Amino acid sequence: MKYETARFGSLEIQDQDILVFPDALYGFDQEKEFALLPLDPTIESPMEWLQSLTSRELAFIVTDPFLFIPEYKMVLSDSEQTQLGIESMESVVVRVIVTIPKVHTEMTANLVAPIVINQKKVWLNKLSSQMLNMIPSTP
Amino acid sequence: MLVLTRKVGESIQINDDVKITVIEVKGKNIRLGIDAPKTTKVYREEVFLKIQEENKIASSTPAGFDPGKITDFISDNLKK
Repeated sequence: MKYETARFGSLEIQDQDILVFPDALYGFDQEKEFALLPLDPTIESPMEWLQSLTSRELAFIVTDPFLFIPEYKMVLSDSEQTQLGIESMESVVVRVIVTIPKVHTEMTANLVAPIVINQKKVWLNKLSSQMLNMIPSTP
Repeated sequence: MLVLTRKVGESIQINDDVKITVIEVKGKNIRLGIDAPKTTKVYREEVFLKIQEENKIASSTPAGFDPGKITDFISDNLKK
């Protein structure tokens, strides 16, 4: 299906590439469908865009927390696994939202509320959720 | 807002499956016990608000940001 985005113009996105967030994102109750897109198609980058498929303007920069903090830990409860249809942790991909202020060297990543994606599609799409990571030792 | 008075040990039932019990009152602190289905999300309000706020801030990436610069900065940090 075709989607309009502010940064990338009109995009053709396949159902299996749509991340469905049944509980939306915190603070964005209406935002339940996203897609992961390269930060910039012309460069290799560990960052990606999490582009809303509902609001053309809305996109977050995300990255893989394990690249930066190999010992990063995340706990998925049984009910969270059930909700996302997770059968094996091998199908789980984790991203964290990065905030880029005007001075980019002061960028931060939100390790407390990671985004969990079940890569193995459930029905047509990939089920996803922004969860709260309750591990006290999270830096 | 509905306001109810409860004693220690007493509860409030919400719907069929959520029960909040006053466990202990100690000075200004009140300990509550919450019985709810596993899928019910329970947060301390300030944590919940903070995450919402963080998402709002993260959603407004500066217009003039340079993907190349940011990638270089991140890659440099990864090497260390």
